[in-house]
Amino acid sequence: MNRLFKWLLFGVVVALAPLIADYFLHSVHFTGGTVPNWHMVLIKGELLLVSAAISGAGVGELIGTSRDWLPFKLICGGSCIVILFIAVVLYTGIANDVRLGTNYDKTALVNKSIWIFIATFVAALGCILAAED
Amino acid sequence: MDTLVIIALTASIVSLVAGTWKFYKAHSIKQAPTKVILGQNY
Repeated sequence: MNRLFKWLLFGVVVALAPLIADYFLHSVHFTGGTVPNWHMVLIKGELLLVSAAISGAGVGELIGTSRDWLPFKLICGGSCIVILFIAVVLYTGIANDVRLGTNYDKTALVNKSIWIFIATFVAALGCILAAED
Repeated sequence: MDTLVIIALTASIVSLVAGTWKFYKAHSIKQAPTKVILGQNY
């Protein structure tokens, strides 16, 4: 359980800290016309970066543990790596669109990145549970 | 919903089920009382 709380506090909350800080900064210094909301904070796919970091940390927790229950650990680690690749693929696509100035569906991107973040959280939670000895 | 999102959600459920199963089984084995049968080898 110690590993779980350590991961929640230093893995998830700290990873989300820049986005939370951005939201509060936006709400304090908001200019007329744009009401501060999470949509503005997540519009460039930042949550996908956080997802990649959290899933990487989830796999990292499995490395160095004992070889007991290896198939379960491999399933959890493999699932996390799949989600990591999905987050990377989506983020590179969005980063390219932003760099080239191409129009993209921002609402769809925000919804997609929230779903990917939820999937990452659940998969990394599975990794942490599998890493508990 | 997008195909990639569905794949990610499926992978996350698989990971959670596997991790929870391992956690539950490992702890139930660890906490099971040791059965001592006296005189079995005599």
